[in-house]
Amino acid sequence: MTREQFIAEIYTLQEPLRRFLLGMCHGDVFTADDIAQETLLKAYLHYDTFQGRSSFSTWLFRIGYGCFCDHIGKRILDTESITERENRIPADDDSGKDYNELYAAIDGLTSSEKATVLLFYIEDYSTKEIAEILGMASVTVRSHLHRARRHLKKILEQNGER
Amino acid sequence: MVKDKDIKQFMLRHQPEVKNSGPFMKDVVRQINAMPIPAAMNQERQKEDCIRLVLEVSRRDLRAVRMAVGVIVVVAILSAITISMIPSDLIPSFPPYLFQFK
Repeated sequence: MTREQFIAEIYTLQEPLRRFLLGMCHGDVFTADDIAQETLLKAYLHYDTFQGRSSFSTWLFRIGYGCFCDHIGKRILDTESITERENRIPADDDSGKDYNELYAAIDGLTSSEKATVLLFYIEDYSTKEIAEILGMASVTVRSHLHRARRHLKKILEQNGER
Repeated sequence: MVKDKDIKQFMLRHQPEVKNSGPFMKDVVRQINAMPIPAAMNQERQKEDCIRLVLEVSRRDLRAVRMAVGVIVVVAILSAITISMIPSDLIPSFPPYLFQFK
């Protein structure tokens, strides 16, 4: 694949990737775009490792999730929710953050649960594809989805959403 | 009772809004063009260093642009305050015939 072909390929995928990362970063545009840029550069330099077993978008999202985890610190996120993390680590720059109902609703979820719901409901990926992106077993993804659904239902019922 | 369909609708209604796709892609294309050909790098370390360098330059440029915009805004505000403080007597008034267009 040439440079031009790669650029043409990522043109359509950059928007869903940035939307996913924006959701993961709680609407922090600067951080999300920074991670998205790193993802696209990594994908460009590692394109020779893409074997075509999964779709290109799944492969790209997998790199994106990896970059997000590197950026935030995977160990912290896997054991505690964003709310706990934010309470523990003082936020140094909230300037780019945009709070909306979605961020508030998924706030209590862990990063992998959050990634699961964003990929499943917004980006329309199947549980098998999500498993590839997050690098976990399908059964774990289904369990994340189950827990996230229960959490979201509770939030929506409290808010009177239908 | 909230159903799965309601969750999907809620998620889609409040999905993060992606803006500035044009400038973002312009930046990415510039960064990719600054990269060497992937085949020229066979070590993982080289690739990581290359990405780090390109992103560092890009972030530095972005910081410089933001700083320049900030300076322009501050200068504009200070100019407006300074002009508003000049006594009106010192500002030459326009002769009334200038406003009498027929």
